Amino acid sequence: MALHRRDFLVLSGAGGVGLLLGCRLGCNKTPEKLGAPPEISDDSQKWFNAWVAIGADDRVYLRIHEAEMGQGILTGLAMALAEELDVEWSSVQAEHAPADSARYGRQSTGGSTSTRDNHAMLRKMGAAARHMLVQAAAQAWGVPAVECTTTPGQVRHAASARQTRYGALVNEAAKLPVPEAPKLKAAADFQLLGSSPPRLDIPTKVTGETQYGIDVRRPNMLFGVVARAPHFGATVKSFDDAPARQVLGVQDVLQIPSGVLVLADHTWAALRGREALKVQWNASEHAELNDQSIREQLVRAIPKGRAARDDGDVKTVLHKAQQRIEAVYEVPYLAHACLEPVNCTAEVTTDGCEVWVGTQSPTATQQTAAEICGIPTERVKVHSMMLGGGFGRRSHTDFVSDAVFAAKAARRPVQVLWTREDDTRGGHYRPVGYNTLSGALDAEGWFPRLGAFVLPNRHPRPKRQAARGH
Amino acid sequence: MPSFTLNINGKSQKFDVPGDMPLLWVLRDVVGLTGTKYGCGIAQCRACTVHIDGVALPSCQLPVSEVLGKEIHTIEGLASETLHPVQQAWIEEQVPQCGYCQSGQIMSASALLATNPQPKDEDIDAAMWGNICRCGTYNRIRRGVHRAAQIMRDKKNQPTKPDKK
Repeated sequence: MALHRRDFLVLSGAGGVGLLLGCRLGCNKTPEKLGAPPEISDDSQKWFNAWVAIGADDRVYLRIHEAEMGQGILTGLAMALAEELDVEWSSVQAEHAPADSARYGRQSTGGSTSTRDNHAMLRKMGAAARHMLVQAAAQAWGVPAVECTTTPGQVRHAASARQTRYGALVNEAAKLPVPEAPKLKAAADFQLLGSSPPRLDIPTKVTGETQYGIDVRRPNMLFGVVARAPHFGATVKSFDDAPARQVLGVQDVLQIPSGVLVLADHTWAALRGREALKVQWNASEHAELNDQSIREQLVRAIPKGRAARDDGDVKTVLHKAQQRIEAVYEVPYLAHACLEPVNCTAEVTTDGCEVWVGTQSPTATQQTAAEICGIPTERVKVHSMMLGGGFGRRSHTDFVSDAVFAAKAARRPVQVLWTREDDTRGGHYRPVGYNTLSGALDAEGWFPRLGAFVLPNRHPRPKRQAARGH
Repeated sequence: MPSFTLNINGKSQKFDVPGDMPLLWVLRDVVGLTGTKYGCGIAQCRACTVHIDGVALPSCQLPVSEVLGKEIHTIEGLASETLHPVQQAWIEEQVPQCGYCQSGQIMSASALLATNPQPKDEDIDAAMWGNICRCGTYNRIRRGVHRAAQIMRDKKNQPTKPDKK
C-alpha cells in the first residue's frame, strides 16, 4: 500500500534525522497531577515514529492519536502497533497523543472510524520500528538482517545463537532510516490481534487514579462556572456582581462571550457565587423555541418534502390498499449526557496557551485556542485527558472557548466546569428526527407489487465517500 | 472561616471550609482527592459515592458539618497493599468503559459486600440501582460483584497459617 502524505511527513520529513525529535513531551502513562509536564530527561527512551517509543528498560510507550472514551480504541490501536512491533503485551503502556497535526494529521475521533482509518497504518508503524531494531542488531552482529527474527521484545540470530533485548538496541536503531514498506505479519502469526488482551486504561479506572479533564489541577489555578443564556442567542444586558463577590472564595466576576463567568478558589464557591449573581438578558428571536415548537415545524414540513425516490404509482396503491399502515418515528433533541459534564482547563502566558481537556477533537481544540489568543497553533499545547464519555459531545470546542477566555482574563490557570444543568441545556444535541411512514398491504398481508411506501421525510442516501487513504 | 477535622481514609486532617460545603467538593478541590466524581450534584447519579462509617452515601449532598467524627473512605482508600476484591474483580471482568462512574460503582459494591458477602441479583439491584452508568456496563458490573464475592470466599477459605511458636 502506497504511503500517503501524512505518513510521509512522519517518516521522512520528521523521520530520518528527525525521528529523535519525535516528541519532547513527557511520556508518562498517567498525566502528572501538578507541576509542568516532565521532559524526557532520560536519554534511554527513543522515539521511532510519532507513535512508538522504547526505553532502555524494554518498556514500550505508545502514543495513540484517537480519543479513548470507553470504546476501547486506546487498546485496540495499541494492539496493532504492538503486534507488528512484536513485544509482550505486559511491557506496553499507551497514552493519548498531544495535538500535533504535522505528525498525526487532523485529530478527530468519531463516526466509529478509528479502527478502519488507522489499523493498517499503525501496523505499518509498528513493523517499521521492528525492522529498524532488527537492522541495528544485524549491524551489531555483522550478519545479514534477513537471517534475524524477533520474538517478543528480542531480536535473534538463530545461526549464531545470539539474541538481544530491544532495550539494548534502541540508541542505534532509532538513528536508522525508516523503511517505506516494512513486512507485516501474516494473520496466522498473530499473538495479539484476534484476542482480547486486558485493556490498558482499566487498572487506573478502578483505583480512581485516572485523570479525566475535570481532575486536572494546576498550581495557582482558579475554578470557574458561567452564567449562561436562558435560551439560544440571548445576550447579557447587564449584571450585578456585588452579591456574588460577597461569597467567600469568589475571586472575580467578568463577562466572556458565552455569559458571565464567576472565578473562585474552588468549584463550590464558584457555584455559590453564580447563584448569587443577578444577570439581565436581551431575549433573542429564539426565546420561544422548545421541543414542541420544533416538532411543530417538522410536522408542517412533512407535506413539503422533496421526492428522493418515486417508483410506481404510490398514490393509487395506497388508496386501494386492503390494509394501510401508518407510523410516525420521532426523537427529540437529546443531550449526550456524558457522565463527566464538559469542562476544560487552560492557561495563557506570554509563551502561548496550554489546554487540558477531555476531547474528541484535539486539532479543533488547538485551533480554537489559537484563534482566541491570536497566536499560531504551534504555540498552543493540548493535553488530551481521559474522557468521561464522549458520544460526539466532546467533538465540540465550546467548553474550550470558555476556559481559554477565562484563562486569558484571569492570567492564572482556570478550569471552567459546566454543571449537569449547563451540560443538559447547553445545545449541541443528538439530531432531532420526525419520520412518517405509510404502507399498504394486500389481502394476504403482503406488499402489493407496485411500490408501496411513502416516506416524506427521508433524505437521499449520500454516495459513499471515498475512504480517507493512508 | 470555620475549621473542620475530617477523618479521611484513616487520616485526620483540619480543613478551613464552610460548614455547608458538600464533602464532594472538599475532597476534590481542597483535600486533592479527585477519585470521587461529580456527575450531577443532586445525588441522582451516585458517581460521588463514598463510605461514611461503612455506609455508601452520595458525597455531593453531604455537608462537611454532618460528617465530623465519622470515618470517611474514598476510592483512594479502598485498596491496602493489594487491590480490594471488587477492584480485582473489575479488572478480571473488564468492567469499565469510559470509567467515570466506576469509582462510585466500586464504592457501592464494596459497601454491599461488606454486609452481604453472598448477594443475589435482587440484592445487587437494591444496593446499586442508584449508580448510573452512561456507557451501560451494568451486565459487567453485576458479573463483577459476583466475581468479587467469589474472590472474597476464596480468600476466606484459604487454610490459616500455623502460629509461630
